[in-house]
Amino acid sequence: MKKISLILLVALSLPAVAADVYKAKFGSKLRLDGDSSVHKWKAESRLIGGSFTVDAAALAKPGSVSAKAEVKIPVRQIKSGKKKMDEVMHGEKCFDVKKYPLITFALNGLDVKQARGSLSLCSASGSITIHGVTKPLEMPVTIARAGEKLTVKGSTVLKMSDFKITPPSPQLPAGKIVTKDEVKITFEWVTAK
Amino acid sequence: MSENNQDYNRRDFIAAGGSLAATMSMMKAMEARAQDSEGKDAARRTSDDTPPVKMGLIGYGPRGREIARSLAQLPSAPLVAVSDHYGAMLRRAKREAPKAKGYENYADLLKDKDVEGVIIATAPHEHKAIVLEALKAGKHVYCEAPLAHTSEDARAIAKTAAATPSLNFQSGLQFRSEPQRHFMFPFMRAGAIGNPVHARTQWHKKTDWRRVSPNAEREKAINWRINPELSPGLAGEIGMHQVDLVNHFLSLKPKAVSGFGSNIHWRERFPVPDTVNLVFEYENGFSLTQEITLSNSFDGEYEVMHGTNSAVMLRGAQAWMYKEADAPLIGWEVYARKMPHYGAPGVVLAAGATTLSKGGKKLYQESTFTQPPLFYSLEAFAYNCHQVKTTVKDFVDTFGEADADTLRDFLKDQLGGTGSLLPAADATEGFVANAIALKANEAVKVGKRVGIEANDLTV
Repeated sequence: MKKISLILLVALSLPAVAADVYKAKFGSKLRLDGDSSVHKWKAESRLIGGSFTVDAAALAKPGSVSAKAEVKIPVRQIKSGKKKMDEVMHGEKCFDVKKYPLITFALNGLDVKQARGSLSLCSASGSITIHGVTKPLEMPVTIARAGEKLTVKGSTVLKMSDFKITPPSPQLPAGKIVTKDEVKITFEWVTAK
Repeated sequence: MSENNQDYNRRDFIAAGGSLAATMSMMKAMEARAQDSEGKDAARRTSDDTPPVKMGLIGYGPRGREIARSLAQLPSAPLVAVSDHYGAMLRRAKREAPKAKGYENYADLLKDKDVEGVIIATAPHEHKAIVLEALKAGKHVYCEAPLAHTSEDARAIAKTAAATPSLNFQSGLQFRSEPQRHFMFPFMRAGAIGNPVHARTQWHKKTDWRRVSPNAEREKAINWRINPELSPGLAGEIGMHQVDLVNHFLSLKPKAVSGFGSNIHWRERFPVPDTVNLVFEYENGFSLTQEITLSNSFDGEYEVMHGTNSAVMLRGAQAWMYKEADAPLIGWEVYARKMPHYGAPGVVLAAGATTLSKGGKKLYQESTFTQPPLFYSLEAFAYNCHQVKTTVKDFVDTFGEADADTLRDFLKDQLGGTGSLLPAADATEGFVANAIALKANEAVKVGKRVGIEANDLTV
């Protein structure tokens, strides 16, 4: 009887967590936007992998949520539609895809700031690894719940130099292009149970 | 530059009323092409650093040898194996491409794990069996046009290719990959000629279709073009490339074709027509006439598309636009180079050439795309194989194995959406062009008007 009471006490003292694993699904979008001395540029990918472990019901009300996520983005799939620019972007002097094939993000904190219907406005914190350099990252995200599906949307601005990437400056006959350090990352990550 | 990035829609252009926005998009397209062509070796679009895809060549006849010569100039497409069941050709391949392994039987080449992509340059009636086996063996496939000598075979090829999205299939409609014609695509789709009225294509070359060999069996095999049972005719062997170009540019499909053919000069040499005249009819009243002859070379080959505002002529690596006096001003043509041609000053439309000013200087650069269309078609094949291969791998690594429909949708989204492919004709486009050409050949054979139904052009 004493043993049963102890188990019951321990069980009641634990938070009721019913976390589910949502796996990345086809339909995601990633976009990088930047600027240069010649023109603005963009690069895109539809490939965002990984998994998101969270209790979806907990997203419906403000507060801290226990959640984990491992996001993986194959860098060579981020493309601009211009072969020469892709060669520069994927090359040794920039992302160096042969050495660092993935961009990863590990989520370790999620705060729901506001919940409206099936949408949750959150603050996500974790660490992002680009070009082999890991940095802490906090950004606002919107999580949409639809049945078995969770779609996470967000954007943030990073500096290439923070990840030991020198902004590319390819030489053209008319002069050198100077790329700005800041890059805006916008994403829509589709996951489902 | 992918087709995606320049898919100017004629309806959009008309809606804009030939507006400043439409003009600016055209100028942007022109400038983009000029930027694309910059670099030390702009005769090709890939560089020495483009990851290579190892190629096997099936068939070492005259076309196979032309392919091998193009591959020799493409670091992205090393030729590692050649197959030809005729000993003399295989020995020739060993002399001319010593680094490539030789196989008498194409099935052995398909077993070679070193071979990633195959280029099929045999007779059209042999294509189906080879393509199906190659796809089954996990090889990317480039199949020379026409895909087949019958619509059934061409349809079987297109269906199998569509069911195998993890492998890159390209049909040999080489004009689809050629930079000059690709450069013209946005202009034509943007409605630069006004309402399309008529198009005319010509292919004149005095040449004998009969080939000789000391071996009677071999001679029979290499003369499929003059075998009425196997030949897709001049419409299939030659005309389909130009007809496909017009249909592609103007986004049209014919509803009927009438034909007439005769053999005057080469009647002692072969029994199929050496000259054909074809008229294609379209739903909107547009028409396309085509002349092909093997008996006279005067005036060579070209395509010309007439519209209510202008006519555009394409000849080799050059193109000109001839505006009507009452045509509205587009804008960019004021800055473009003019050149007398056919008795009138034509606006030069050349890939990689521009007079747009940059950095205060007015630049003019002649087109640097000097290689034949086959070269660019093979360049696109190798490059696109690499894109498909790496994207499929990343997809499987990320999501695991997927069914063909999911993978096809993803590849369309990822590769198409990010403009990652060089322009090239896929299996469906190859099938449609093939089916139209076979209808044209049928019209020549029966000497009557032959209808082309939607079902005829559906895979």
